[in-house]
Amino acid sequence: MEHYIGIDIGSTATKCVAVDRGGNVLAQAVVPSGAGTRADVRAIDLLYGSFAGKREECAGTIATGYGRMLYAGADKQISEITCHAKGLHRILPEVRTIIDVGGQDLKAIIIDEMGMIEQFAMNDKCAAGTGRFLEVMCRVMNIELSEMSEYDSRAREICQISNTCTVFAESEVISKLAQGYAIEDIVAGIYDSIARKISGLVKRVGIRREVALTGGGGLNEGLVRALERHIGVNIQVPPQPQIIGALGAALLAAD
Amino acid sequence: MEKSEIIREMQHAVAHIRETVHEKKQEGKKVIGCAPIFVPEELVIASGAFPVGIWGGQKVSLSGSQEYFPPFACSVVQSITELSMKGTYDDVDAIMLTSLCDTLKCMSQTIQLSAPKLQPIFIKHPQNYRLECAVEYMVKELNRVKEELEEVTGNKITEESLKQAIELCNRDRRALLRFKKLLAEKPGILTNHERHDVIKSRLYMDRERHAQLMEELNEKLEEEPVPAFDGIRLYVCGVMMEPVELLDILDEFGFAIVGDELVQESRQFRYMVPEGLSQVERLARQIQQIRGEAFLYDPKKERDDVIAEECKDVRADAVLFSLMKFCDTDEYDYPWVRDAVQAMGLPILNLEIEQIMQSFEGARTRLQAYAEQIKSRAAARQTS
Repeated sequence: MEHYIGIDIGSTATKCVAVDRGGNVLAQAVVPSGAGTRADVRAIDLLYGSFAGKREECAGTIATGYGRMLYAGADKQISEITCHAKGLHRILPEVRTIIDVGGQDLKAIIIDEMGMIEQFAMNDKCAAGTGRFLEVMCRVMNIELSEMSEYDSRAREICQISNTCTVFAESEVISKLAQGYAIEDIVAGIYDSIARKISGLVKRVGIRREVALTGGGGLNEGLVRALERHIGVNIQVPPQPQIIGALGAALLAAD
Repeated sequence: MEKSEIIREMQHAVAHIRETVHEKKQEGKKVIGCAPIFVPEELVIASGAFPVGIWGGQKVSLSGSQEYFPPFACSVVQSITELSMKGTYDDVDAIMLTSLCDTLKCMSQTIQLSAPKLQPIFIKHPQNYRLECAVEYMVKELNRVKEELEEVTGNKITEESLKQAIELCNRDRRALLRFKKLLAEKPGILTNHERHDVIKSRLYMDRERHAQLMEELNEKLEEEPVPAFDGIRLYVCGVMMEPVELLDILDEFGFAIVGDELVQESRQFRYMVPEGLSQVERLARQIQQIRGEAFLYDPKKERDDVIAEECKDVRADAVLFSLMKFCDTDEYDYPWVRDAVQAMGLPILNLEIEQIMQSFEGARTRLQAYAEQIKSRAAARQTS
């Protein structure tokens, strides 16, 4: 079966999608390791184990993400900004503002009705506003990332946490824990902090309705709630926000 | 000389600054450092000394400079401070310093502590530089600088020697302006990295030799046919495009710089020294002509107009605002520039850089996405 592959090699996860010539998704795979860990090889193996396509039937592969230049199997490398725009426009064509919260990157992308990029902004060398921020805070609180949204839903008030720097925020969380604040309220504060950072970047490019959240950050309901409070609009989340970049890459390979 | 030989000589000058300074010292010449942003190199040349650009260093690892500056200070000034502490400027007899931004103001104080052997020569530009009384002030200021240079070099700066230096620098400026125009007419004829080296080499070569090489290079470029070019005609704003890896990334993604208003590049040579009653007055009047300069008091905020006019002249497809991190001067101007450029229907990318940056993946992603954005829009326009 002729197919096309998109592989998004991020900093903390590697995502693969296979599509047919018409852009219909045939298979997908996610490996929770990123660039430089051979996760690309494992993700591709996993992908071929999950559908009937054979490697020799692949008609094109596009790599994207932080590790895109390192993947030897790609015919072409395309930036994750272009791939997220392409992938999300296929799933949610009414969206004009895309917020991509990845492991160590944060991006705000404005697209037009054709799905073409009008503007974008990216965070600098700073973990605040990215998935790394949440991971660090989870480690301090001794909870799993997947548990955060549930804690947030039980919060009674939002504990104020700095959004300037992950390291400063980490020591603030330790201090709040020592003062006896409830973990639920601290989690709400963490979401509020990251949402303030993200909304600052999004406002640089201007918010245009509809708004969607992609990347691993989209898996986090608490983050979606906090972002909606700060941005003031409803945020859509595609069914599998993590694979949007890989889907866009696969669609571009099939174009 | 062949085009490649000319460029190689210029690249050699850019890559071997300390060796050149050492040679000049061996020849018995005095060497005067010329720090950012506008210093009267003509006075240095007229004094018989060798002017050498002091523009920091690419990818310098900062440690000592943090004794004098917080982490949120401009990396150019921080790297100058770091290099001054490491003895990189030990062969330099004096350094001309301005105070045209807050961080340069700080450096005018700290350099006396970070490099006590380095003799500073301060130049304070007038705030209301377009008034006639500013010329009167600047003549006094430049006469003081002239006296200090005469003391350092032991040579008298005469009207005639200064006139010759001004004519030489103007000749070099004319050649550089012609070079810029040729590259806008023939994008792709040189790489962005080569363009940068050719322009930057004026800071590290005998000016006579640079002017001669520029004229020869222009002749060669005029003879060459217009190359096939299907890339993006880019106009660049900001302080500088260093580290040069950024220029290599631009080359990789099909951008050709067709114009710039970079402080380290075009803003150093875009205004000739005009005529005047005396040679010092001519130098004093040069600054009066400057329009839309971020580092001079500009109540009309004309920088965005100047950029828009230049983008139109060079038929730019896109604009890159290379924002030196923590440069509040450029940060203030960016919204005006963005609005003016977007009003022309051109895309603009704000790319935050640091002269000391060592990792380029973030910049690569932004520049690649920018190229993809521009090319896909151009393709869509063609289809429709």
